[in-house]
Order: sequence, then C-alpha cells, then structure tokens
Amino acid sequence: MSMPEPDMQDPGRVEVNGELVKLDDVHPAEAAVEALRDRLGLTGTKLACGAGVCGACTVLLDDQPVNSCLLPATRLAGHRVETIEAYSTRPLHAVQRAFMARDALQCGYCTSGFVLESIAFFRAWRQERGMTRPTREDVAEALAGHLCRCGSYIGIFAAVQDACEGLFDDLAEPVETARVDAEAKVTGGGQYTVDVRHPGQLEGVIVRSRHPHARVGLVDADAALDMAGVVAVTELLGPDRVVRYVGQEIAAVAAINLRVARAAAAALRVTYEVLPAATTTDGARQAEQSTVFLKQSVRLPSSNDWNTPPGLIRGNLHHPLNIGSRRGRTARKLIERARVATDPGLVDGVWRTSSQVHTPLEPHAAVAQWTDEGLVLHLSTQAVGYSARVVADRVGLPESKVRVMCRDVGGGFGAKGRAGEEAWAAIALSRATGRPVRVVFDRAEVHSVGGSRPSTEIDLALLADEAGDLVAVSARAWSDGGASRGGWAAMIMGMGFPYGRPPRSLQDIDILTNMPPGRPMRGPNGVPAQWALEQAVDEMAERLGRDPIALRRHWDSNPLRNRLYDWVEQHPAWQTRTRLGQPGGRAGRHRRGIGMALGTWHHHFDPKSTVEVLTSAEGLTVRTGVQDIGTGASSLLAAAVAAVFGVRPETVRVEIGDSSYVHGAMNAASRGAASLHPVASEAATRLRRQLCVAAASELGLTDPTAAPGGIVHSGGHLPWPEAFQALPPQRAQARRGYDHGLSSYPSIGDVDLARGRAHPAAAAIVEVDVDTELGRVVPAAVHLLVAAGTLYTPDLARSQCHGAVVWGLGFALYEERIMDPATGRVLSANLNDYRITDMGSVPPIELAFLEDPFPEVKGGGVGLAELAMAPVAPAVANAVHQATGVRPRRAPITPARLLAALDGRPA
Amino acid sequence: MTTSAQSPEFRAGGIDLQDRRYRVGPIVDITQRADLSAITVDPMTGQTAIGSLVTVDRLATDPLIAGKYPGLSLAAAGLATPQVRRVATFGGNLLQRNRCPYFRSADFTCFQHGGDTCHAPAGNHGNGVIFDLGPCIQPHPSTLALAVLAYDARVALDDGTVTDAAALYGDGADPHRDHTLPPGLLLTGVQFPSARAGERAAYQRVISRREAEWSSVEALALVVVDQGLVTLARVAVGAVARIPLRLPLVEAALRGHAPDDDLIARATSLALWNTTSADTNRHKVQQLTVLLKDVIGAAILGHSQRRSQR
Repeated sequence: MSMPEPDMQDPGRVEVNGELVKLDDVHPAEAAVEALRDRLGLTGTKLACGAGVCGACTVLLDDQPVNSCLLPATRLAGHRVETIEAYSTRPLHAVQRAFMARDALQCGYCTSGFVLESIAFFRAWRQERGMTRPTREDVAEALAGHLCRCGSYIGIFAAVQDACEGLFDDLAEPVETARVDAEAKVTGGGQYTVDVRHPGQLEGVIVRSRHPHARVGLVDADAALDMAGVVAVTELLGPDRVVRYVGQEIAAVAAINLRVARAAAAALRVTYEVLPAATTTDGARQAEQSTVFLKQSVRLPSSNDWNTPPGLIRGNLHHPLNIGSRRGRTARKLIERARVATDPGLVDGVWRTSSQVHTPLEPHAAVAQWTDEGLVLHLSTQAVGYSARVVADRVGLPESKVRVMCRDVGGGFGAKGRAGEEAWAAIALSRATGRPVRVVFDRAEVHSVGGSRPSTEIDLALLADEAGDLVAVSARAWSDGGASRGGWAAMIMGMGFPYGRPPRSLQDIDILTNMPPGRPMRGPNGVPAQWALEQAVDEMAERLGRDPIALRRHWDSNPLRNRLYDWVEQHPAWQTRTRLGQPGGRAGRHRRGIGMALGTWHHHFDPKSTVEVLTSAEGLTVRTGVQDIGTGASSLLAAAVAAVFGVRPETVRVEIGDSSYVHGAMNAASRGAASLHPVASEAATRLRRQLCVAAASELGLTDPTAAPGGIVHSGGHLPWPEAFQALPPQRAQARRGYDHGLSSYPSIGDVDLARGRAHPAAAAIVEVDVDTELGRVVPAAVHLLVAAGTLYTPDLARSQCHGAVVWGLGFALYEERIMDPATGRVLSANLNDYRITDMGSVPPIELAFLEDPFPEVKGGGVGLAELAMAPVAPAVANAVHQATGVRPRRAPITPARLLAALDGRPA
Repeated sequence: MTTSAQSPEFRAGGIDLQDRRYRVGPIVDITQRADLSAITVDPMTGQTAIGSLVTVDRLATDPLIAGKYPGLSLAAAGLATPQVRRVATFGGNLLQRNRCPYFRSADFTCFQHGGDTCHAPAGNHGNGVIFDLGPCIQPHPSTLALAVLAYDARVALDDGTVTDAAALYGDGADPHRDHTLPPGLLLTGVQFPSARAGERAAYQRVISRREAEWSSVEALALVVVDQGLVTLARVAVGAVARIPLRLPLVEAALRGHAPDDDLIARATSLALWNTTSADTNRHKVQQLTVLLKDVIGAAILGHSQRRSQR
C-alpha cells in the first residue's frame, strides 16, 4: 500500500467518506478506531479484539482494508478513509445485497468489517478475474483477518462468492432477506450499547484485584482524584471487602475520556491483606480449609444461573443435592464388580473439557443515566426485562423507575444473562456524578472476568452385558467454574437420557477455585456431558464389535431418535465410513476420519412471554421486551405477525429492546423462538379478529372476515393499510402460558424458565482430515440433522445451526482458556491466544431437519441453538478416533494433545 | 531492548506496539521517512536494497521480489492476515517484540521488561522454545527474519553502518531483548545479495486452524538443484528458539547429494541436535522434523506453497 506524504500544511486533515475533516490534538497512542468513533461519531466501525485479529474495525484506507484498531490516528492524516457509513445509502453495493440475501450475519457486530473487506475483495476480483466465482479458499484467504463469533461463515462464503459471480449486480432487483434489520446491519446501522452517547457522558473504568484472594483495606483515591479530567471514584466491594479472584472489581473511576480514566485507575492505590488462594483444581482439592467461600457466608454465584440445585460446601468442594441418580448404588456395585473382573463390556474413562470464554465481539457494556426521575440503563444484555428487575432490586428503586434498553446485542452466548459489573459500575458512577457514564470492557476484561464455561473432568463408566444391553451407568463430574457453583454435567446426563433406563449413579462436584466465576455458556453442562457420553457410546460399539448406529438402536427405542439413526445410516458419508474399516486400522500420514454423535437438549420456554400487536394509521407494530442478539428476534416477530395478516414482514414495525414494554423472554437456554413466535401469532390473530369487529361496528361493513392482505366483506375488499387508517388504533396481546396438562414443568427460580417434556434431538456426522505427523485435525464436512419440531423461520433456524456447528468445532478443536497457575491470572486474554473458529476452518455444512411438530408444544417447535451444537464436538472426536485409533478424551484436541496420544504419552 | 520509561519507541506500522502503546516511552513515528520505502536494485552488483518501511504485502506481491528472492516473497505472504500485511513493515516485522503472554500482559514483570524472572517455566509454556539458548524461553516471532538469514542479507542502520543480519539477534542468551539494536538506533533497510539462478523456495508454518495464527513451528528452505545434485541449501526455522535459526548442519548434509527422500530424512534428523523440550511442547520437536521434510521437499520439487499447511 502506498503511503503518500501527509499534507504538512495541515497535518490533521483527513478525507473521511468524501468529506475533509480535521483531527486536532491527536494523542500518539490514539487509535484510528477511537478517532472515527468518538470524535467523528462514525459508530458503524466496531472495536472488538483491539489486536488486529477479528477485523470488526476494518476501514478502507486509500481503498485498502486495514484494521483501524491497530492504525494510529496520527496515520490518517493526508489519507482517504472510508467507513461503512460511506456505503449506507441505496443502492447498496452488490456485496451488501448478497450479505442480506444469504443471511451472512447474525448479531451484526462484525458485519461492517466483513462487508468492507469483501467489497475490496470484490473490486480486485472483478478487475483480475471478471465474473468468475472465487473458491472457498480464495474467500477464506481474503477474509483471514476476520472472525465472526456467531459463526455466520457459511452465509459469508455464499454471499462473497455469489456477489463476485454477478448474482447481485442488478441493483434495481429487490433483495429477499430473512431479517428485517439486515439492511441496517450491512450498513453499520445496528443499535448497540457501545454506540450510545449522551451529551456530557463520562467514561468509566473498573479497578480490579491483582490478587486471587485478599481482603481489601484502604482504597486511596487521592492521587486519582487530583488528575485533570477525573470526576469521581467509587468503591464496588461487597460488605466483606474480600476479593476472590484476580480481576474482581474493587472500585471504578469516571473521567472525561477513556485515556484519563485508565490513567486514573492505574493511579488508585489499593491496600491488600493477601489471603491463601487456590488457583488450580489440584490446589483447591488439597486445601484443608476453604480458600474461596467460607461456608454459606456468601451467596454463591452460579455458573449455571438456573437449574442449580442447592448444595453443601466442604473445604473447596461444593456438593449439589443429588437428584439425578436412579438405583445409584446398584449401578456403582455393578460397575465396581466389572472393574475388578476387567469385564470387556465395561467402558470406563476420564473425559476432560477445557474452560472456554464466551468472548462476544461486542464487549460487556453499560451506559447509565441516573436522574431524579429514575435510572435509564443502556445495557448489552440478553434480558432487558430481567435486568431491570435485578437492577431495581439492587439499587432500591421501584421497577417503574428503572428502564433498561438494548435493541441490538453484539453477541452474548450466556455471558450477558445477568446485569454484571459493567452495569453496577456505570450506575454507581452516574449516581455519584449526576452525569451519564459509560463502562465498556476491554478484550482482556471480557476474556478474564466476562464469563467462562467451567472446565470439567468426567469419570464415566458404561457397562453392557453379553447381550449388549446397557446395564449400568456411572458418571462423576468435577467442574471448575472458579468462584462459582453450578456444575451439573453428570446430572444433566440423566435428564432425557436417551439410552434406556439402566441403573445410574450421577454425581456432580464443584471444585471452587480462586478464579473468575463461570457463567452459563451455550449448552451449559450438556455440551461437556455429551462430549463424554457420546464418545463412550462410540467406544462401547467398538468394544462390542457393533456398528455405532446399530448399538444406539439397540439401546434406544425413541421413534424420533430412530429416525435420526435412519438418516445417519443411509447417509453417503456414513456408508463411506463403513468402507473405511476399523478405527485406527489404517496407515499413512493423512487420514480421513468419519464419526457421528447424537445430541439431545431440552425444550425451554418463558411462560410469561407476552407480545403486543398494535395498529395505528401508519400500520402494524409488534412490541415486546426482548432484544435481538443475532438470533433474529425482531425478524421472527415481524414474520409471525406478517404471516397472520398476509403482508410482507418489513411492513411490520418492530419495537423491542426496552424493559418498559410487555414482558419479553430473555435470550438464554434456547427459549427465544419458542417463547415468541406462537405468542406473536396468537396476538396478531386476536388483533385481526378485533379489526374485523371494529370494521363492522365503526365502518358498518357486513360480514367482514380477515383474508391475506385485508378484510373481505360483502361489499368488497378493504386492504389492511386502508383499514388501519380508517379504524381507531387497536391493540391485542397474548401470553405464552404453559403447555397442556402435564407436558411442561413449572418455571423455576427468578428467570421465568420452564421446561417442556418434548425431547428434541440432533445427529451429526463429521468428516475430518487428520495429519498424524503434525497433529492437525482439519474439518472436511459436517452433516447435521435436527429434530426440533416446527421451524418458525427456517432461514434463521439454519443460521443458528450453522453457528452451532462452528461452536462445536471450536469446542472440539480450538477453544481453551489458558491461565497462569501461580497467580490465577488469565493469559489467553486476547483473540490471538484464545482461538475461536476461523472462517477457513469451517467446512461445507449440510443441514437437514425433521419438521414434524411436537404435538404437546404450543406452536409445535422448540429452540435449537444449543441442541444443534450438542452432537458436533463428540462427532469430531469420534471421527478423529476412527482415523487414528486414538481416543481423544480431552477437548480441545490440539496438535500437542493428538501427537502425545499418538505417541502413547499422557496428553 | 529494555523499555525504560525514557527510551523512545520507534513506530512504523504500529501493529506490535499497539497493546503496549500506553506503557512505553515516547512514540516516534517513522512513517514520514519516505526514503525508507524504496526497493532498489544495484545494476552493477545485482544487490537489492529494501527499505525498512516497505510493507509486508509489497514484499509478498512485488514481482521483482518474487523473481529474485522467492523465499522472502513466500515468507511475507505466509504471515499474519491480509490487513496486517498491508500495514506491517519489513523493519517492524524483524524488530517486533515477542508474543509471550507474560510479556504482553500488563500484570507481569519479566526479563523482557527489565526484570529478573521468567514466569513461563513454572507457568504456561506450551509454545516455548525447543532450543535452549538462555533464560527467556519465548520463541522469536519474526517470520521475515528467516528469509533475511537464509539469504545472508545484511541490515543497514541509521548511523550508516551495515551489519550481518545474524548480529541483529545475537545468540539468544540475553533474556532482556528480542534484538540487539540499542534504543534510538533505527533499522533503515535490508540488503540482499544478487539473486541466484535456479533457486527454488518454500515456506510453511504449522498452526492449529487454517489461517492467521502465530506459528507453532515455521520453516523456510532455499534450494538450487543442478544436474541432479543439491548445490545450494539454505534452511531457517522459526518459533522454536529465542532467535530465528539457520540450520547449518541440515544445509551441509543436503549439499552435494542427490535430493531424494532418504537424503531429506537424514538431513532433517540433524535439526534435532540440541533440542530440549518439556511435556508441554514436545510436539514442537516432532512438528519441526516433519515440517522440515515438507518444506525441503517442496522446495526441491518446486512446489512452493504460498500459505500455511493445508
């Protein structure tokens, strides 16, 4: 890239989106992304990793895509910059239209960067290669500097390839899109918390503990408060003033900008009385006395939030109430006897899964505005309504005086289910200063305290008799969720256990450590449990000399799951596997492996979920207190209402992201679609009926009945737009409620989560290419069949499943939080050292669905974001085993671990 | 280079410096030095001088470089991401600081900060060195250094001196620095000897995913095969030692022989001489031999791969 001489006459002059602007007093450390967002208000450019890895901050500098997080702001002078805002007016670029049409986005936070890089690629490709279609490798190489945490890569591949090939060149042709907000998201118009900016807004920074366990004494803020630009310092400690992990919050600083706030935070002097700490599971198990929580003196946070049974603390071990076993003593006795007898029908192993971090690309963010009228909190959250209740309770305001707002969320995956310290710090600082305060985590904070999946160690034994019947199951799961309980991997195996009703002993133990507390992460507990269980079944099949599908059929009579087995059995990939022969039976360096696994999950919904549908002269509006985290809640609501009225979804106005609306479901535990779509349909149907009644009474129409597009009456047809104008505003609402009779369990805890008795399932066949000498595993193909009942919005469901596969691959092969055992500090605090699935590693994904509705479920369909992830990782492991003969017991299967296993060394 | 608060930090592309930008001494931007962005070939000697501000992307795509120094071109194309390559510079890549998470973290003080400890041996060192050269066990991060060493290039400094590239890195014994330049002395360019006829090159790295990852092991080979015999072999490896390494024993074993699989196997086994490893990074020893076989084989066959292992 050429670097023209800067214009020395006017050193701050930059051409941004066609206009000359001047940047004054640029600090040498200021990054271009900060200047563009904070000085010029060009918030379509997103800051995510801050390290040039994820590409969310991409801008075009003299037509070339560059990372604006790495680019010093001083470097802009004399150059031409284009941000996504330069591409925000119609007609949109062919690449943008392709992104919309191929649903190449979910939360949208990385989309600006992907779009700009793809536009540059498109231009270069057209110039050099004309209208030919780039290969997947071409696209993956060009976009190697971009990461999408939602896993929209399949759509992105298709969008870029199709755009280059000319499928979107006709700018006059309307774009068919699955999302009502697709255009906003491909033009940088999403409304995220990090973009909120009020007049007079301050920036807050949290001061965090440097020790894994300490009692905090004096917090001396004098030096910080003396600094120019510092407005307030507030303490965030609990009443015991004890910090239990590195990074736990001690205080927060508000200043006029982030640089000053950071400097002030560094100037705060904190006195610690250092206490004994257990930063590793070994250390925690050895500690005679508790080093994390003293008995029940503190309310234990839970990595699982809901579904967590109570328990007892002994030392650093937390034993939850055991409610999953059935004839547990029999199971243990049988397995113990089989161990002694070295029974060949016993599969007995230890499976380990690593701690992972959610790392949503939009960091945890809050903007609090505390006034005499109450509190307005913009919060990047999976639950505006729930957060408002929690905040009101904690700050002592009536719920009517707390308003939590959040339309678009740049990913959450469970890390943003509860209002966290970003909220408490922003609220405290706003209260102290009387000004709006924004607190946004940096990537190191996201990776250390922003949420993690507990690591697990699962001792799992399956015992089969001579006939191949499963006669006993024993699982003991040790979970390390840091300073939190919530490990439930063993017990979740018992919930909807697919392989009959043998005696089973299920036991969970939380190892409490002085590490940041875990949070529920996509498929909490279940994903680690299925990593162990589905590999153990695979191992049993091999042990018994049976086909893995035949064995599952033998154990599992469930008709729905047997249809999954049919599909796998008949799949060409599975037939190829049969031809490949016994696991490990092949030589050669490069080996294809094919494996399958079953995934099960639960039907969750929010019985209080309420949707309101309204008319006004302008048209239809659908409204509820949810937020759009990338699953497409707004599109789903619009689609449900539009279908009832026979109109196009984009004509329905969607109002979400505000806790003052009617109760909406939180985006967690795969409950979104199932809690929204049937309810929106019902509300719309009611409204339609009301409109007909009103048409009779107000307009004197005879026999009015609703029809697609309008009201049919004896005198003709009244199109909906005319009806909305002619009739006074109407409003109707509906509530999810419970399913009929005993087909659902009551909701538990404070999070409005009910579980239905439907048993959705999924099956994955994964093909991998293993380089047995370098230890690399490259996914070659994934085939996924999902049985989640009715698909409310098939395009959005497909995108969720693509993302779930991407997550499954990350779990199996890449993602691992790395910490320093001596200090309890997280080392993988950036997206270089913490590896999420990249675009080039995503193989073609084949999706299929069994769409028979679940008769007992309102609407007939259940959530699938977690279900679709569940079988992927164990299928990867089974494929690696089939290629190598080595059983990869620990996730992720890194080259180091695979080579060690192939070498017969402990991994 | 110890980073005392006073010593200035030169900034070119700014990539390496970004996460330390608030913790270093005054930042001196050098991108105004238009004289450092040129690629010039001396018509008399055939030597090529490449300015330190030439971007990595230009090294990867300039046909002149690809024609004369294919190993440099391939190494440049194989590192980082397209975006980083567009901004990152030759000099910046050679002189970047290491990627050790302890060094990069604001929460630790180690040798590289001027301290007196290394936290990695007792802590995490999964990507640690497999050649023991000194108390710091983090590998050197530069990919382009492999090409600079393999071509016996020389580096030019702002004080007018020109020195062997190997001297830029020393012997790896000093745990306090990633290169030997004193603070305030600027690398202005790299001088490559005249191009060799018939040279073939290959560069590959081992990573866990498909793109854009710091190497577990990386290797570059330059080979000339003449009348059925290897007449020149240059082999450099990265991510395995405190400094980028040439492997003279491997090179010597290749020279003068017919290039077949046996020869390559025999030669690459010599790379393991003097390797040390712990349980956590033993895989790198194996990856090194396998990768060397791949890279030398690819160079001999002329099957140079532009990108990392696929």
